[in-house]
Formats: sequence, C-alpha cells, structure tokens
Amino acid sequence: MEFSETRFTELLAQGDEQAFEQVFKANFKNLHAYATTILKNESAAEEMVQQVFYKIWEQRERLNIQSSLKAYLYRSVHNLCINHLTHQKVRATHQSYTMQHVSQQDEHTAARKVQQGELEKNIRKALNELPEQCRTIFQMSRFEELKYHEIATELGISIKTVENQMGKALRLMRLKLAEFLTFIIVLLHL
Amino acid sequence: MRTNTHDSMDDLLVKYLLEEADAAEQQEVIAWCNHSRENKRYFEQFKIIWEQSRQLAVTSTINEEDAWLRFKQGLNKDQSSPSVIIPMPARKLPWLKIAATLFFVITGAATIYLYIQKQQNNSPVFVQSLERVITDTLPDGSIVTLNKHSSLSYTRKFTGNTRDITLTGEAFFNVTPDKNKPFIITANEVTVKVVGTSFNVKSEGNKTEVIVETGIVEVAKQQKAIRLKPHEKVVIEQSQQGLYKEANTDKLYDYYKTNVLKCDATPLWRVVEILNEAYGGKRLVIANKSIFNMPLTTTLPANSLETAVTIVQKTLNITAEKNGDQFLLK
Repeated sequence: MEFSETRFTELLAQGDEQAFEQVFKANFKNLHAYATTILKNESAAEEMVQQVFYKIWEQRERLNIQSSLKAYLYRSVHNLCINHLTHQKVRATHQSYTMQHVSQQDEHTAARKVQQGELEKNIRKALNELPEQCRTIFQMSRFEELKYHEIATELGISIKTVENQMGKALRLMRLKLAEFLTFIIVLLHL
Repeated sequence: MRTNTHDSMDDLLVKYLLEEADAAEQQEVIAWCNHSRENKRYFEQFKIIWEQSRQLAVTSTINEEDAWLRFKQGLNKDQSSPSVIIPMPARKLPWLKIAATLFFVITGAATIYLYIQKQQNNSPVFVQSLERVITDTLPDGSIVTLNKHSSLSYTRKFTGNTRDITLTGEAFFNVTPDKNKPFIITANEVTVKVVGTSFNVKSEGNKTEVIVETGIVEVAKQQKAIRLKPHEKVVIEQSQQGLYKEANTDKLYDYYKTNVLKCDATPLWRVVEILNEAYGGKRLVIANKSIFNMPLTTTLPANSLETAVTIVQKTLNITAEKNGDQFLLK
C-alpha cells in the first residue's frame, strides 16, 4: 500500500512506526542500489540510506516534505553520498575512487578492454558530477528501468521535466566525456 | 554556447534512444542524424554513454527486513546514550544556587538513568545465527541452541508475566523451570507454552515442528491446543486445522546442538535428508533404489561430511562416488 505524501507526514508526526516501517521497506532496496552506484561500496551505501531514514525518524514531528516523498528520499541519499565522497576525498585523495581525476590517458594502455574499463570509470565520474535531480532521474530511468511517465508520477513532476532532465544528463555527460569519447570511437572503428 | 533548439534536440535524441519517442519524433531524429556526419557522430556518442552506463548498474542484494532490524537496533543503541549537558558554574555563585543546581542536575540525571534503564529492560534483543550454530543464555537462565540461518527475539529482561520469544528457523530450548512465568515461543502462527523442559522447535516456510525431549509442552494454534510428552512430536502446516501428535522415531533433530547424528535403525533416505540439511545443499544423492530403505545404526559426525560418508559406506557396505561437491551412494 502506498500513502499519499501528506498522509505519510501526518502519520509520521504522530509517531506511527508502522507507516514508517512500510515506507522504509518499500524504498530501501532501490535507495541502496542508488547509493551503491555512487559510492561503489555496499556497506557504506547501507550506512548512508540508514542515516537518511534515521534523520527522518528523528525529525518526524517537524518534517516538511515539499516535493514528493520519493523525490525527498532520493535527494537525501544523493546529497549524503556526495558529501561522504567529498569527506573521503579530503581525508585521503587517493582512496576516493569516483571523484578522482582519472582522464589522464596512459599511452601504454591502449588495449580496448582497458579502455572500456576506463570509459566506465569516466562515466561513473561524470554521472556523480550531475546535479541531484538529473542524477536521480537518470538512476530511475537507467538502473530501475522506469518509463518517463512512471518517473514523473513517482517524483511528482511533469513528463516534460523528465524529458528535459534526461536530455540534460546525457548532454552534460557527453561534454565531460567529449575528449575521451572521440578517442573511444576511433578505437572502436579501427 | 549551445542554443535552445540544440537543447531540445538533445531531449529528443535521448527520448529516441530510450524508445520513448512517437513516430513523428522518430522520423525527426532519423532525418537529423542523416543530415550530417557530425550529427550522426553526436547521436552515436549519446548511444555509447547510454549503453556503457548500463555496466554501472548495481543490484542491491540487501534484505529490507534485515535492514529494518538493523535500523531499529541503531535506534535503541542511540537512546541509551543521550548526552547530558551540565552548565558551567559562573564565578562567585552563592552556595545555595550551586546546591540547587546540583540537586536538579543529579535528580535529572537519575531520572534519565532510571528511564533508560526501564527502556532497556523492555527493549527487544535480536539474535541471528547466519552461517553458524550458536548457543545463547536467555535472561532467565534458559539455554537456546540456534541452528544456522535462524533468529529469535525477546525482551531484554522478561519483565512481564510471561517469558516471550519469537523464533524463525530452528532451535533447541532447555528452559529453566519457573511455574509463575510460563515460557512462550511463537513460530509461524504456532505458540508453544512450557514451564520448564527441553524441546526442539523448527519452523520452515509454512511448516512448524515441535519435538519434546523432557517435560510437558503445550502447543497451540489459534483456539486449539495439545500437550506433548517426551518423545512425542507435532508437525503443523499453516493451512491445517487440527493438531495431531505422533511418536518421534529418531533422535536426529538435535544434531546441530550435539554435533553428532545418532542413527538407530534409521532408513538411509532419512540419514541422507538430515546430512544434506546439516551440510547445506544436495551433497548426498542415493543413486541406487535398492539401498533407499536400508536401516543404519551408528553415530555420525555433524562437522565432517567426508568422515560421515566413509562411516555410512563401511557400515552398510555400499560405495560412495565423489562427483565434484557431491557424493553418489550406490
């Protein structure tokens, strides 16, 4: 059973643990997958999602969800994960995989397989640099394999917005990967 | 700088790529791509990004139920350690004020402490065995042996009039006698009520099985209840209406507690069934119908499959063929 957003915040403010539990269980898996694609670490990802729910529970009496509940959950997970990455980066630059600058091409690693691994790395980097809404919509479309109209309903936005955001996502990623992509295409066409 | 028309072309290209475009839009994209090599390459690059990004997909293997339990545990832990803020006394405070402040701080802290203590006593404890068999002592001194992949929960200090336990999976209980506080186990929809005894409870899927070793156990489901004496057992299916007891014929059920399987004229198929359960998966297969019912009387180890197989083989004078991870009995 799905709640309407206002109903959920109402129930939550009353401390309704069952309503909270339902929302927790209905969304945990997808949010965990989202966090894992960003962090590339399952246990850190779980910690992030747990924290998001923990904060919601803590602030249940004065929680003000402006957008849709799903949009709120995805936004919180995204922001927390990016924060986590930035912290990691400050602590030990070399440990942070995703935010690292990786596009330096090594002349010795021209092998196609290695290149594809590099491409994956670069795509992940470009993906993590997308603005939050863009990133969330991309997540739902690509990884949860939802249709435009489904994403629109889940997030409480128009289909047109989903279209725009998806166009924007690919455009931004292409710009970030431009240099790299010309290289790949030449390689694939050899 | 890109123009707005270009931006909306991007939206359209992506829409086409994701098979969300209608016929007219598809035509438009195809025409645009055919217009120049550059356009085609531009679209090509979108396609590569889209296709390659699939590789980043993650399927979460997490179980929401477990995640929820961990969430609740985290919540309980946090409640037990609140930070108490003690104000720094300002200089030259009159003694009376200090005394009054101290009084309030101490009473406050004591109240919080007592409150937390009470909360803790009532807070649930969750034990999960995962890949190993564990033995745990409950707050009343009762001992539980929990088989692999099983879990149980109870309140930290059995404060009520009963000792309540919830079980999933399988466990052997040795209950400390206390007539005034019955020990009640819930597994599936079945309740097992005892005063002081030892018995085995196994719940898997819709089936619950109770086997009694000593004492008397009352097993109830909805309105119905029966009493089991030593060496009796009951098997209850979820859809089943009545409760019927039967004699328990073998002593194999508690292998995970004793680490041995005591076979007493036990048919081979039953021995194989239990060994497969103990070692996980279909490790043993009977490949010869005529030995299916052969009775076996021996003691087998529950921690070395190789040894167990050798003993079975020698006792029954049959052959065991190793096939990868499996043994074929012939």
